[in-house]
Amino acid sequence: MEPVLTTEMNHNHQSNEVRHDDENALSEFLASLTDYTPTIPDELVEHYLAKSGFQCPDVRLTRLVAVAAQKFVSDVATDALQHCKARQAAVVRDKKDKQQKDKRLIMNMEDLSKALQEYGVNVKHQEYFADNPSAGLESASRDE
Amino acid sequence: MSNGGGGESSKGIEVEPCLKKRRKNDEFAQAIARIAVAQVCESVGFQGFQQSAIDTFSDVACKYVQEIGKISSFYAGLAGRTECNAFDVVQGLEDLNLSQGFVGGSDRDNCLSGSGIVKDLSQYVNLSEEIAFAYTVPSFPVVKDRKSTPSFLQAGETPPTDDIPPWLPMFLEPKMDTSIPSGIAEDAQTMPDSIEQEQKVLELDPPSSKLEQFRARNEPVFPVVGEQVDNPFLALPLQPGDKQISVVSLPAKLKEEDVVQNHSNHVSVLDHCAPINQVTSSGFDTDEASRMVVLKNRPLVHMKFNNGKTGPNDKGKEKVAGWFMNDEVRDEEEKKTEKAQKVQMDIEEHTVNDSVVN
Repeated sequence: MEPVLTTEMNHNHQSNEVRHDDENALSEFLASLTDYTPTIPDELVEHYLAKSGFQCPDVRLTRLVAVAAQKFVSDVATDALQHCKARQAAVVRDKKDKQQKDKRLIMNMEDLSKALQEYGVNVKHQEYFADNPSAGLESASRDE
Repeated sequence: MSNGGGGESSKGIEVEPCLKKRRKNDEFAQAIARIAVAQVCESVGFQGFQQSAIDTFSDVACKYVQEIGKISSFYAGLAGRTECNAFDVVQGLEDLNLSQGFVGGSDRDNCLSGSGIVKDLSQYVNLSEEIAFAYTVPSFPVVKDRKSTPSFLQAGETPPTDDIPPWLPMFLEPKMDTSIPSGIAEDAQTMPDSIEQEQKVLELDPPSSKLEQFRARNEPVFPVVGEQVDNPFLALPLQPGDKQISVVSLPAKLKEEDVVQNHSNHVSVLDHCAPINQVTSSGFDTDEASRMVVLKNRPLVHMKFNNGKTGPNDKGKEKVAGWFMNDEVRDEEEKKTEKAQKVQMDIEEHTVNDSVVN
């Protein structure tokens, strides 16, 4: 018990100084947000925050949420881009035409679902769409 | 592995009509989100998107923002506040990013202001370019300006009874009634006056005794005057005989009373009569039917109704016309039409069964 207490006290002593810096960091960051305009517009963020019950008249907080959302989007997009590039590298390039085509990076549902999986969002992409509910079932019964 | 959607990078909007109707309230916000997400992805390095991918991604981003709002407001409520502050937001972000991991996520007592999330965010802000949104977004949702009725205090009037507080909005008065005092409702003597004035406004005939008795019996809680003139749905119900209406032309077979004087004008319409006319005419009492005034000035209404079946229009007309013919002719035609319809019904059932059996 005692050694645990002493380490905690030391930690507290240290953290008192650290806290000042942390608070400054946070307040500085919030101040810097007034200059930085996030790509996601404020009105959109305010709309969705109001929908979920978030009440705050402070613009800096909405900017904070906007920046957080932007960071999330860019992280997922970076992961999806890496998946896309990995897939292109795996494809054997025979002709020059293929190379030129493959340079164009297009976001697929595949890459997106793989990237989102790591963030805990499960997006399953339909492999095919049927035109009526009984499509495909008749063939199954015939096989049996 | 090929996707069902193909590798198209077209941004053509081809949303199914049923999906469009489902998203009707949020279309504008989602469209803006789509553009913002596309801009961010472009800065990361993408050159094109699949339509479904960008739709899904923008949906996820909107849900992320909503989640932050939900968790932050939860933490604010936990602390006994209604307004969120920075710490609530940081705590919300910590909760959401716990699966990804951030510096200091495993520490037991870490100050929120020194959270790894904040450091990551400030790093991101410093390193990334600032990309402005492509369009100027108006503030939405747009709130319509409504004219609210002033309260009793604002209007300088006293409420009619003691138990109505003066800060409540005033009772509405019809525009013509400027001289009526506020305490009308319970006063039986002024009621006929108010009724008459109301009815002048509503363009009705002078009140019948029935109407007054009806009002006296009901004893309304709020003043009778409190009805908006403009709103036809709040108008008084019409008693039969109050308003002049056009005569329903009864077919020769179905007339019950002596409404013969109407038929001389309406024989030509019989072929085009809809079946609904028959229903409405049978609903009236015999006394009132005889009291109906014939309006010769009104133009005849030709209504065509489709029965909803796949048969041609002629069959519908033939069926309707069959009601007005003699019994013999009618029976022959009925047999023909019934056979044809039965065949159709069979075909319909057959197709219905196909999809249900499996």
